[in-house]
Amino acid sequence: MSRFSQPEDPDVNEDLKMLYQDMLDNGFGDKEPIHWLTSQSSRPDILAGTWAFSKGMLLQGELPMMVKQMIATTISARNNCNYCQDLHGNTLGILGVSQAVVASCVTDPELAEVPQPHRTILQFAVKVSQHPAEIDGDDFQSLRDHGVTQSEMLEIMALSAYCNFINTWADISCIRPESENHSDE
Amino acid sequence: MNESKQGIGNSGAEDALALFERVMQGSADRPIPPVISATLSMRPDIYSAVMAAGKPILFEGALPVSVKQMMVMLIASHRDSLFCVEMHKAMLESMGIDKALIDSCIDDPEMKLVPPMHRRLLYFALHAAQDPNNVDDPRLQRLRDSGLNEEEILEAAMVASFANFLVTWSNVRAPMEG
Repeated sequence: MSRFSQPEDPDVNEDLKMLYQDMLDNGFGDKEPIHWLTSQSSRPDILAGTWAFSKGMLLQGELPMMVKQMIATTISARNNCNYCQDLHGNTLGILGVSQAVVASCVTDPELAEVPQPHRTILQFAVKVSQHPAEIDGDDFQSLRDHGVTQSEMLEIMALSAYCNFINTWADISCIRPESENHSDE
Repeated sequence: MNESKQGIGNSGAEDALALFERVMQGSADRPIPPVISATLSMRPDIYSAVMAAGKPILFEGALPVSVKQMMVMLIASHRDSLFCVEMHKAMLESMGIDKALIDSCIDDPEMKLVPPMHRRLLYFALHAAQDPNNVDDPRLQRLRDSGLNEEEILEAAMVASFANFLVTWSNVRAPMEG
């Protein structure tokens, strides 16, 4: 599941056991946590930090869950991160987003099927992820025109940078999408 | 990482963290990017989440903190992240790392002044941050052959990943005021 070794029995380590339970309680896995998390399990000290970061970025804050998952899906596709694109794209489906919109996030540079204001938010998020130094006053104004507050903009920027983090880890660790587990069953 | 592997020590890690916190609090006479200062004042929840990961990844762990700061500085220099380069350079100086050694990380492509094992870690981190889809097993094996264990290699990969967050976030340089 990962190129990094994992403990055979996570329950032996009390810290790891509690972390895993918290992940499952928050929906980050079914019988065991998602591969992005378990791939770090040989280092519970690091995993505790990245899990707290992930909860802050994906579960908490002001942006609706659907917008967060759209940003993660779209940036992951642009970064060619198959694992994260699959995970967050499937989460959008679970949240009730149509397959046409999910496909647009993944494959369409124009994001034509994504309704406003989400399209503008995604265009901004992709620009932050790919070319952060090119963000200018016009980009912020476009968001303001759609009613996005400054506080929400800060969350979009942090989340976009966070997506670069999770994509990098998923690629380095060579994890496979959870959906491939199910296709084997 | 045992003593024989270390060429750059871990002393001064507390000084580096203290300097970082002073900069973030605005008491170190060092400008910070507008996106970070606005996050600190308006969204401390986001900043807390960032630091929940940043502290164990960059200021604690198995690898020398100095080498981890060098990794981020090197990655930032390749992404034109002036703030990160200067911030991590200042933290290295606060740890007592020789200035010539610090400069060798970013000014000398061969990093001649960097001890060999740490040089390998820096090359690995840069490659992992820039091209994570092409980190292959032979590249990891070279780190193992150098004497690094799996947990240390994981930590190096995590530093590279987190550096991609830091340089992206801090590279938003435009002020947000409308």
